[in-house]
Amino acid sequence: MTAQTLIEILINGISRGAMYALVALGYTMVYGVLGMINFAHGEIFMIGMFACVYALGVFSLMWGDHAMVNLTLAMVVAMVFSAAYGYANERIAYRRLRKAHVLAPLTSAIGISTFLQYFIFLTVSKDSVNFPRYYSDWLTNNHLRLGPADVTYLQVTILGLTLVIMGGLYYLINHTRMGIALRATAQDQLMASLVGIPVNRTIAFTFILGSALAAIAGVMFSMYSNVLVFDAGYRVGLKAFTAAILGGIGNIPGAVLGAMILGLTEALTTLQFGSEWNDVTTFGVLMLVLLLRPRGLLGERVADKV
Amino acid sequence: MAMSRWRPYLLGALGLAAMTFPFLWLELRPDFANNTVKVAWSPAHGLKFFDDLLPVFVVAFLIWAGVRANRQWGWSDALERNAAWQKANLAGQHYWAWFTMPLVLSGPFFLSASGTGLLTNAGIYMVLALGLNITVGMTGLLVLGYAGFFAFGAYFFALTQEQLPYFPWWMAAPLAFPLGGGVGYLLGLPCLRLRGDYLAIVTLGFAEAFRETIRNLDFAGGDQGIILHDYSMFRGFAGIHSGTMCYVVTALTLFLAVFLVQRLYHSPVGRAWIAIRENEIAAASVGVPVVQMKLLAFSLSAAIAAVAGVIYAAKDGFVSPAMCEFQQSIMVLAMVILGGLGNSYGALLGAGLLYLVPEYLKLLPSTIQDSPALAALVPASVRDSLQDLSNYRLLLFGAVMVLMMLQRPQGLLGSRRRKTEMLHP
Amino acid sequence: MTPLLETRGLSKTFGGLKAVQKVDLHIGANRIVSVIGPNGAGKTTFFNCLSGIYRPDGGAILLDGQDITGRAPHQVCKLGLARTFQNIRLFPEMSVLENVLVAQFQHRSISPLPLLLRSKRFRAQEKQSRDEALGFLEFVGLAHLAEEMSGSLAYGLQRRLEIARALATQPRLLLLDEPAAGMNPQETTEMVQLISRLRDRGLAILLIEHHMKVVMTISDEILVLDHGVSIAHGAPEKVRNDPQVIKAYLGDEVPTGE
Repeated sequence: MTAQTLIEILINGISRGAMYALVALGYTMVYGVLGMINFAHGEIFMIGMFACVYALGVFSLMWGDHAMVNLTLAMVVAMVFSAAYGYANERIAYRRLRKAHVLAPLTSAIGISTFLQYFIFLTVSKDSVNFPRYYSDWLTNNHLRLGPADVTYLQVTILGLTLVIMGGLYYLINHTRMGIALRATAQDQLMASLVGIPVNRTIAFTFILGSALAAIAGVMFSMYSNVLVFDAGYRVGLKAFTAAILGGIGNIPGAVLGAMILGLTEALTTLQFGSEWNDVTTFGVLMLVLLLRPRGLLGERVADKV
Repeated sequence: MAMSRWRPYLLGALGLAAMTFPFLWLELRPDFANNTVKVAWSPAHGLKFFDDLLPVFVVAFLIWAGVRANRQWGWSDALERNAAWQKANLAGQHYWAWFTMPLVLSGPFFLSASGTGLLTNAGIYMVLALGLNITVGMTGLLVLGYAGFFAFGAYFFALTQEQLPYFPWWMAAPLAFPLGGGVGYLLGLPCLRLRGDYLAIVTLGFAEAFRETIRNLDFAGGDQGIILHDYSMFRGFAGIHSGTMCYVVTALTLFLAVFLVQRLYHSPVGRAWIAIRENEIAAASVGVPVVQMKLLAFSLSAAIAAVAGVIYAAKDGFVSPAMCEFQQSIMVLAMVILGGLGNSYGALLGAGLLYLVPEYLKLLPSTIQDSPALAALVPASVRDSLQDLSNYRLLLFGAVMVLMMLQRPQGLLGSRRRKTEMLHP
Repeated sequence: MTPLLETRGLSKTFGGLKAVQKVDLHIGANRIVSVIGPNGAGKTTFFNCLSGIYRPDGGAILLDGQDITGRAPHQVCKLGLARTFQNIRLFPEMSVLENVLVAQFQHRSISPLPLLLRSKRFRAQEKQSRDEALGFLEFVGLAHLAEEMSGSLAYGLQRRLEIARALATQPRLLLLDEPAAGMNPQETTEMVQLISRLRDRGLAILLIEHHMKVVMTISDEILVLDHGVSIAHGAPEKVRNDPQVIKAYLGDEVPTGE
């Protein structure tokens, strides 16, 4: 393996991993706060992808094609839409089932996920839609030279955005009032509500924040892969969820680590066997980690409340 | 007063309308010349969506009205209070299997060929739902890639018959049972030691990985799948049509599966499963080996799915990677949830409803067209929207899953009450 | 003679919190030992370590001289240690009788053939299960409610059902976690009677309880925990007058319960 291919694999893997990480954060945050898995999160990501393209179309009609301005604004629109869907998901599928058997919210979230997939399938497109290249050309066609290898601006943007978001999230959780509320709610909902923390609002906030991050990932991913399709959320969601488990679900740095490992695994698989084997190797890594470290790489031993 | 009561609903409806606005009422128009995209106002788009779903709204309204009426006048309570009915229901359980078996088996004699075919498919879904119900309904563990085991069984059969000179379905089906169970055991082992919710993702990953593997391997037929040899499939003999054979074998498998699951359910094993679902820590503290019992439940589910896979393959004479798509798994899960978590007969009912209703809806328009009286009665627009309704199947499954969890988490049949049948031996 | 249950330096830590620190305890056969202490003293954690729900960080647990440290709950149960829970943990969707039947699991054969074919032996076993279970329900006074859903029972009856369920595992040592919590005086008296009848059956009992009256009437020995440390151990009279215990219980008054 030459140095060039090695670096390219690294860059590819890390930028894929960064996108997975943004989605995996949504899974892990909801799990951390509620102790429940949000199966509809992948579809929130997919909604972000489509909302962005719709917004690009609307802006283009409104004031013409200004690539960067429209793209930035469309990303904001995508975040707003995903956040709205995330909030609706929480209100419909989770809030009333918080005290029910674990299976109940899980099932209703799968219901939401199936519904959203086929909603887009039926109303937008049965086939894949291409991302309008006009807006992403500048990012995908320009390169930075890194030693013997090339890095596209898009990859740099993805990495940069992910790093900034990680930092912001770290600050939010550890140094703000909302962060304290989040951590308190995660520990004990009843106790948190007794000391005056608006538990419902805190949980809704978690869903909204996670969804907005998923929308950013969605926009990046649709530029990266150039296609949008109704079940993209299922595919990426599966990867991101696996990443969250790899790192230890509920653990934020763990989700990022797991996502990076998955991204690198995929890049390596693509090189060695071809991208059509990605799901197989991902599954292999998942089983391996569950066998060796059942709580994930950074997962703590959390005892059940008895 | 009235206003403030409706305000949250109004706001919610407005919010949903805003969220769905672009997807419903705008159309994406790619501009290939400039590599950009435009949108266009396209009300026909959204109107068609609601128009197609009109029958669903009507049915939903009727159900809602029925539920309200029941709450008002307490019909179901009256039924439940009627002790005679309950006792008859319990005591009869043993005997009605003997009564239904000949009835079901004689189906092909008074059904058309297509009707027999539909019921055969429904029977396979019933076997699947019954198997999944063990893990999801009784033990309370979510499995999202159940179709993976179904496809595993089918491919085991298809690949072996390629290698062996003579390998008919009746040899494959009994072998698929321990093999499927073994795969389930191996998958369950790492994730059931700890938390049950990992099983969902591990099975999902398995189904995807399995599908990808068979798509990529040439000897497994790739995307095209494998066509089975004639001698492997169901064949008619002595004047019995092959479709009838399929039907009878499926029905017998179904009876066997019901027998197996129900016998386990009414035994210490079944009690242990329910106890794990109800309270895992308490179950462990009274001596239930939780991990082993979970593994047993899950392996058994996988084994039953593998057998169903063999039968399906022998019926169609064809296997393909589409068999383990996520939609298949979701469909079986929806059947279990609709029918009644933890209730075998509920699973059968759910499978029957969710498979047959869309299939008959698909047939309904042509039936209407064929009969002049009905054609005169039913307007063409209704016929068209019935025609399109089957496209909406998965959308509706999703909605049903959410609504069931919110309104009737125990499913249609599963008032999950578990009476002690032993008092009426 | 080896004691029925012995702990040697049992410790359990959560993060930085030392919930149980080096607790030593002996319980002889057929004795009633109470564990008392202020809220958060580590009593329930101690129970959870004994019954295998938590894995202790240090020390050893010996049941009849056999080391059971770190065994899974169902294995501990099989060796003759059963428990009830402070926050009741029944199987709410099962009938009262079925709750008890579940607990007989480890004493029942589940070999597949007789089970699937309903052999004569299997049917006899089921009948025996049912008769024994009804016996346990009779013992705690719930036989007439056998067919009710356990989730719909009144609170005090749910506690009794938990005891019946624990009995069905055929234990030698029974761990009761606040059996009289939230009960009125009448119910509390009945619970005390039930506990002494349990002892009459030959069981040893380890009891967590806040009602001092209950503790003082029926205990043979008392262990006092404070911040996870055992601060006193001995006969009720001795513990009652121990200055350290009095200090641990808020101030200088002798605790008299409600």
